[in-house]
Amino acid sequence: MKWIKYITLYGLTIFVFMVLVELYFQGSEIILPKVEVDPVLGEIYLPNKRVAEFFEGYYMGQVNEHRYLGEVSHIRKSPDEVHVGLVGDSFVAGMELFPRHHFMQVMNKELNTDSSQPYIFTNFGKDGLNLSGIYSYYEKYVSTYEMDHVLFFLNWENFWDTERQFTPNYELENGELVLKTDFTESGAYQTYDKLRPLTQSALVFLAYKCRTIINSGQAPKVLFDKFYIESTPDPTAIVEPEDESYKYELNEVKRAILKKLASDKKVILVIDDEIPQEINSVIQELGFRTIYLDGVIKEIQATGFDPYYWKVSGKWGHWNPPTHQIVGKHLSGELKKILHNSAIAKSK
Amino acid sequence: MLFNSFIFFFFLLVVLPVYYLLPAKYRNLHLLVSSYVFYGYWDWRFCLLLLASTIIDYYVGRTMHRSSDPTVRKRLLWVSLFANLGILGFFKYFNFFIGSFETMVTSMGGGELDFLHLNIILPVGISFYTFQTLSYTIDIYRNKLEPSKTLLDFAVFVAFFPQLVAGPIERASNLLPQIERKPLPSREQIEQGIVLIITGLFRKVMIGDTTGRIVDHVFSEPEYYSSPELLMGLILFSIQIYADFSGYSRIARGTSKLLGIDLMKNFEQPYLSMNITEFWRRWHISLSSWLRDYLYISLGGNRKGINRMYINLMLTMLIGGLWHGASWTFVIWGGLHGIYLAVHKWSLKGKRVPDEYTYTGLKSFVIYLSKVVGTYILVLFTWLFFRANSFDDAFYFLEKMVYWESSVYSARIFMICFSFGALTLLFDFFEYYTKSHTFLLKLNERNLQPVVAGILTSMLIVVLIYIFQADPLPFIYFQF
Repeated sequence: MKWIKYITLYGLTIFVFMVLVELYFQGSEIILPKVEVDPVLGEIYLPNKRVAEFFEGYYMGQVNEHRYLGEVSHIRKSPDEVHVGLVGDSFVAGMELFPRHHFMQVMNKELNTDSSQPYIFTNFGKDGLNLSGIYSYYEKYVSTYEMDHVLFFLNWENFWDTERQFTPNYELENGELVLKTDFTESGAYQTYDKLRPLTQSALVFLAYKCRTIINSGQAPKVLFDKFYIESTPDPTAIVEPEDESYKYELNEVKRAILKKLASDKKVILVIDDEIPQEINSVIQELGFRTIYLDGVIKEIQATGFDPYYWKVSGKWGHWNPPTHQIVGKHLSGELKKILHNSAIAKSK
Repeated sequence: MLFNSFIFFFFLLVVLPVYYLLPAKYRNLHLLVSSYVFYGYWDWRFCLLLLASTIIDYYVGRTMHRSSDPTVRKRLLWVSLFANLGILGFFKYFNFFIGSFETMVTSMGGGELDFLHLNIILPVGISFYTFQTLSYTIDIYRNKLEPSKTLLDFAVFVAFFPQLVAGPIERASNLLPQIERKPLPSREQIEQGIVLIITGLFRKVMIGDTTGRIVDHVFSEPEYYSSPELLMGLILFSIQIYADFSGYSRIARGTSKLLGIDLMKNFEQPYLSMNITEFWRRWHISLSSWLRDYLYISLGGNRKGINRMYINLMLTMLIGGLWHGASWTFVIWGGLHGIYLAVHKWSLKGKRVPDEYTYTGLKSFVIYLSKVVGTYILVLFTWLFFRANSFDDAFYFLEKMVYWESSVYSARIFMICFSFGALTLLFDFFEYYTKSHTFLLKLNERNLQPVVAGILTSMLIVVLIYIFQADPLPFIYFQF
């Protein structure tokens, strides 16, 4: 009897303490879960959420009620407004710096200075997406909003065939792109769906991150630090070439996605990195309106400044704040040219 | 190895059982080997310095004690001072003084100088163990201490791993006799040790590390942040440094208790101080008492007139600031505290600051609260210079406080500061109210053992999960 009382009180104390820790994590923004899994879109942002991230830099922002980043900007588009949506992966989401330093704010300022029409920019960036994921995000979610132009950001890594747990994939059926949501049939998703409310808990999110580390085989390194000796590669094994282009395949599905995007007159493709010639050739053939950023990135690098290095954390990753400024100005200039040329072509 | 790492847990899992099972005569040898393994984990070369400092001070102490000639004793003391401060000065301050000299000559129109700057690695904990060994030789010189009977015991005193790299800076009169006894922990010490380790880890990781993420970003590139965000960074730094260092000290004390040894307390709720004098009785107690006993008193203390007393106070605080790091911002930090202390001493006009405040009702509580808040604001101002990477950054920060810009995140900033501050003050309140760092054990006296066990279990689970997935932040005071 005494033991039952002891265990009950012990368990209750743990439960109450964990609830208090949960409140502490959320109040102090130590961990703020920000995503859930939609059965069609896969991983999407939760609505009305504060976001705080510590990747290369420090991000403090929010997801609004419509599940995209920042303040709500699309409501009741007026005829004289020009709405520009930014679609892409983590380079667009920009969760490494405060939103006011993001290249979108630079574009906002540049395009709205001395402009007869107000430009309204919306950040639909979502981290962790490949080409298929970005396109499904655009097709099923972004296109429900009224946009005059869509800057569709792609880089080489979006073409890699990486496995992502809760991401829909496209397949070709009778030459048509069909979105497959097979991930909803997986055991992982079934479990997730049952525990859905719990997944918004900071503590559960922490535990999930630990599980990810364990599954990726990094646990021994974390536990044993210097005493962990990584296994040496088998000298007789075939060494993969250093050229990483083998990681992607420009298959028929990807070509079909690019073809669909090219037929969408709102889309302006932004290539934010150097890409293989094969992909670039397809882009050129499809007649995209395109902005290339690799040139301006190389110019930055030529000055001796690393656009991907973050002094504060000592890490390499996404564009750092000065690079955002330069990219924003470059994009603004290029966008103005494209819109001007398009206006001329239209008037003819 | 960091206390907030799994490798340290595994280290303890080996060290403790072996210590308990060994016959008494081998325990100190085991402690010495363990301590050198612990220290050498950072860099084995550091062990050579530690060994050199140990051997020099052991033989200086023995020879000094045997000699009755004041001249010989003084010369030996100077040998110890020169050796210890020489090592400290070279590794910590060589480039600083060279750079400062170059700057001074250049600013006086002497042209650009380019003296040799060395690529020196600062040994972890050097500021702590050199002060600890100096207190040993100085106490022997002052005939307040008998030297250690064996080199082994003295070597353990110097290298004792729980407090080697970040204190508390122990006095030989407290630590040496315990080491010489080769104790096993009592049941009470084991309970207290476990509570101190877990609560210390919780403070360090859940408050210190988590605030540190924000602080590091804000102070690294202050130009990207608005006035409220900068102020948040400073307030969170005041919380970070306290949680980080007091958390470490608790882990050190807890680990020592598991070895049957009691170390001194290093913090006693300093942010609940009503004035700056009280603050220095409660903040980094081992360092402040060391500076008082071995620097302030050696300079003459208050025995050579009032003016000399203020000079001695300022010098002590300036050197105390410099001890923290080879940068003029630390000296300014120390200088500010020196000014505060001098002004407070002058205002007291010879009266002593009481150790405790007596509450007589609501009005006295309001007075208490206003004095606590006022003292915190004074200390907060000094933390700016302690943490800022340069004077330019510090003045930029002050400019942003004067020319205030708002932030869209003001409400969130308030919530963040409130959450971290509230948890820190909650710990302090319970410690202050129960007069115990192991206040949780007071619940055992009310037959609430399952509650105590539940809280400790929860703390440990949360801490372990967090450090498993996060890059561990080192203890701030490791850089000193």
